[in-house]
Amino acid sequence: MKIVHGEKIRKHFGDKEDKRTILNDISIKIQKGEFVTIMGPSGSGKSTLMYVLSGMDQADSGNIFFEEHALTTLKEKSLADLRRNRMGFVFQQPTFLKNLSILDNIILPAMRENKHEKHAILQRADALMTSMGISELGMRDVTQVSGGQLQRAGICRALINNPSVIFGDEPTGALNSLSSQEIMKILLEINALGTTIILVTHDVKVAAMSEKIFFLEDGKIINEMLLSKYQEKNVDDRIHKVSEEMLRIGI
Amino acid sequence: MYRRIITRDFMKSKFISLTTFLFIMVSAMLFSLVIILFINLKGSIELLMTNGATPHFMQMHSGDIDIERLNQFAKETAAVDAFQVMEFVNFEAGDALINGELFEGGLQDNGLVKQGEFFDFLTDLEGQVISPQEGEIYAPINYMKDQSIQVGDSFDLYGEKFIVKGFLRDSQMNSPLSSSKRFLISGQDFEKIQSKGKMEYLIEFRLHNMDEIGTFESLYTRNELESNGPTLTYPLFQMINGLSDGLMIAVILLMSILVVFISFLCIRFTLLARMEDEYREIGVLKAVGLHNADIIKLYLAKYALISFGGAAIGYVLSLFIKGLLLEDIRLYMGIQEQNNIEILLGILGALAICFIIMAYVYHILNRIKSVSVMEAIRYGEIQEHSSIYRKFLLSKSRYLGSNGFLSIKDILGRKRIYLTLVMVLFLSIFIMTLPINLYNTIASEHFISYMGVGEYDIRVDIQQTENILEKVETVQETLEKDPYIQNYVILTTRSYSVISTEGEEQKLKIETGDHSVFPLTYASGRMPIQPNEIALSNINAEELDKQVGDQVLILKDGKPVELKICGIYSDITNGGKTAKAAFLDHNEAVMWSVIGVELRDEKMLGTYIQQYSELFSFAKISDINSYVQMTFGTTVQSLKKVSIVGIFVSVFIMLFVTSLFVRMLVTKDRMSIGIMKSIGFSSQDIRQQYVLKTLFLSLISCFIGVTLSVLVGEQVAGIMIASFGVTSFSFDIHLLFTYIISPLIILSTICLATLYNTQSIKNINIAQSIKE
Repeated sequence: MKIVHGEKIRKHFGDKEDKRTILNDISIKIQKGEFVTIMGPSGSGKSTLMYVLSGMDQADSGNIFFEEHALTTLKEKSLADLRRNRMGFVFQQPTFLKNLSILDNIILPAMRENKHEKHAILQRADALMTSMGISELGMRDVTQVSGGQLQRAGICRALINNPSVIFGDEPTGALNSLSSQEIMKILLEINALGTTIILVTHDVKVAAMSEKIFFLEDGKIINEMLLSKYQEKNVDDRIHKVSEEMLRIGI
Repeated sequence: MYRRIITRDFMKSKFISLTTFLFIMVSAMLFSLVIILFINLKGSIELLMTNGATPHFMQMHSGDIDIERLNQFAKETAAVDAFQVMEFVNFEAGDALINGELFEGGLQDNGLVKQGEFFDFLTDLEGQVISPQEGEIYAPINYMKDQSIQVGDSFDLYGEKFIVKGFLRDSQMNSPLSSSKRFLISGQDFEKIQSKGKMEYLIEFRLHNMDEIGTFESLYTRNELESNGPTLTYPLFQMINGLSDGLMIAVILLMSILVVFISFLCIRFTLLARMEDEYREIGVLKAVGLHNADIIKLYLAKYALISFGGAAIGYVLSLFIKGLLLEDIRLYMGIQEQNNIEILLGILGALAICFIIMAYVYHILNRIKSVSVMEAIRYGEIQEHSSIYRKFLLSKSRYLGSNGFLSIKDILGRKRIYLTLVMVLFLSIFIMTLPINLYNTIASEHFISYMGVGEYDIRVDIQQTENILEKVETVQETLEKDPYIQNYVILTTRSYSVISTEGEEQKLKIETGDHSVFPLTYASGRMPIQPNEIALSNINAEELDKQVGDQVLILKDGKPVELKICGIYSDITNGGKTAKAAFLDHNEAVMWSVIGVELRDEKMLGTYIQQYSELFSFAKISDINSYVQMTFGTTVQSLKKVSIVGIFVSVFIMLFVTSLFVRMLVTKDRMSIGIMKSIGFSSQDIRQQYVLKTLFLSLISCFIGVTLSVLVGEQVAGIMIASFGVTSFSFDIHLLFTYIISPLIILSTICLATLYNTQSIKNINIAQSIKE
């Protein structure tokens, strides 16, 4: 069952004289429960594609569907409701409100939705933070924790409303390799429980952990690569396979 | 380099730069205007009184006069430079016809005079002493202003025909505050007409040295010379001439100070916000070795340009506007040719604003010195350390939804910036409510009781006539028989000698009667009830150096009588020098008598005024509202205009500053807005947060502003009202406006301004703003 799909998506930036096409008639389908990555060189349009698929940015033309909703027909408020209840986001740089504590940042989307269930929300937040190993950091300021801890808090926030899809824009981009591995392990665990994961990355190691890779270049999907579900002992093989594919298609 | 920095900064924040510029320009304009107006007013008063050779001491007198004795006194008194007695023939407005129609001279005491012999000249609009020909009449400038008389009109009085040849300026009686007005005719015409009206005398002196006015006044009183009327001196004439326009200048000065203050607040807000935004950059600049002074110069450059430019244009604007504000001064007093002092001081005034602004900017920029390099580079922003802020958590919040919580949290986290908006708002509330309450106080029916006049409907004034007591009895008989008269009181004023603490004898005008019928409001103490009690006007109390509880010695029927001071009150009538007592005195030497009448039905007022005017032709009949109107109707009308203008100015300031503030905040908060949108807050949610923030701050401002305008406003009003001679009064707050209407105006203005200026939130692109 498709959870996210787009048809003939076009987007450009700039004025008439300076017009650049970022997404060039892209069609893409992502099934429920899949773990996909979108790869490509810098300027290929991969982040733009992700923002357009999530409704955070608008395409100039084309159709985009999230579950049964046609995003291009929804009003801004409905898009916001969808983002809050059905999607979660993890960014490269932690996007937290600096005037709130870690815990407040995590529960904010849930409190917006349902302030009367505060007790349940706090319990869920506690469970998530415990599973991420950051339960003792709730009262700290955003500036008082490490990058890796902040990224885990970001994942907690993304999961607080039980979304059906997690979008990630280079979620490991600012982390060291150990932290990166930890984050990817967490995402795989989440995916194993049924949440669809859509990541944007230029990191081969990250892409190798997914089950499908869309390769983008100059605003077009030039290849789609299927990988089997992640098995720990095949990590290096997977990385090797992805690298070969990239060489073959000339990325 | 500075040019590039300034240009880039302007382009980045056009609206903010323009707003700051406008406020500085308005401040400079107002301040220059104050200086220009003040110089012109001072110069004009001087011009009027020099051209008019105003007397230094003037005693009005009605009744018998011994001119020989006065002449002798003048010759024997070394202080006297010149002396004359001017005859003033009173006429009622109803006795004169303008172009065949009744002259509507209002409630003024109109009179005919001939030109002063040695001084006290009535001048034309060019400042020249008028020499009217036979058959010509010159009317007071006031009647030109209200257009009740025009040049060329025929003026018929007591069977004599005149043509209005022009208008005159009167250095004594120009001002609306003066109840008498002089018409000028030739000596020949005056001889013909003087016996037909009631004669009054202006006994006038010019002294060698004006510092001796006080001493001369005492000497005049001790010599028991003619004094059946008010006494006025040169300083009092100066004050009366300058009062109306002086008040206008005071109001403009107050506005100028307020606008400067608001400019400060805008600059403070924009500078603090900018320094917050560039906190990390400032830290980096310090880390690479730039001195504080160098960093400060970078910021100072832009404000130097704005301040200087704003001040320059403000000054130029003041030159255009001054004409409008000088109109009345020009008409009533004349204006000296533009002089270099006015130009120079006006420029200096504008420059003063410029330098004050620059000094303030420098003061704020000094905060750069306290920026911690480590904190700036590590955190990129100022760390809020207050415990309230830290303890206010969403996880512990019981009642607030997420939007409400985020609003309050943001206010707590950026108190310094929001404090600026609060200050501007409560200042605006102050500007809005103070004039309204001041107007409400002065326009109140009750205000008259602060002025030495009771609250009755009709005032019957019997003065400048013979057999006053007999005429009082005539009136009393009529009142006694009339069932539609609710109440009345007869108050009679006589002149008594009082011995001051220095042992000097002075004259005191004491009004006797039953003061409980239409009681005044006393500044201290109460009305006299017992025959041995006396209440003094505040001016008399000051001069005699007395207070409630003290004794004062008067001579009654030649015998000393000790009276106890039971009260002190304000009085603007008769130069403010009156007293009230309850003892009986059947002495015929009455100066005047006032009968206050209260009707059962106020609707019959017009009928009774007309009836009494016909019945009691020896008296002046007026209704109290007209009396108040005559005395300071102009001031009340001006205050009403100022109140209305105050509301608009206040709303304008709130709209402008809130717009500036909200736009700046939205620009500054782009990243936070992007984050909130990414986690599912709609544009509507975020706009709601801004509205909640500004409404919350408005509520605080309303509370402070209303409290301030009631408490401080009373003090400010006291200073202004004291200029009328009223030294104590109750500030009559317009409850509905102050506590309901003005807060509603404020809240709705703020709400609208916020909603309008947060529209751009929906256009903030999430992806781009998060990456900033």
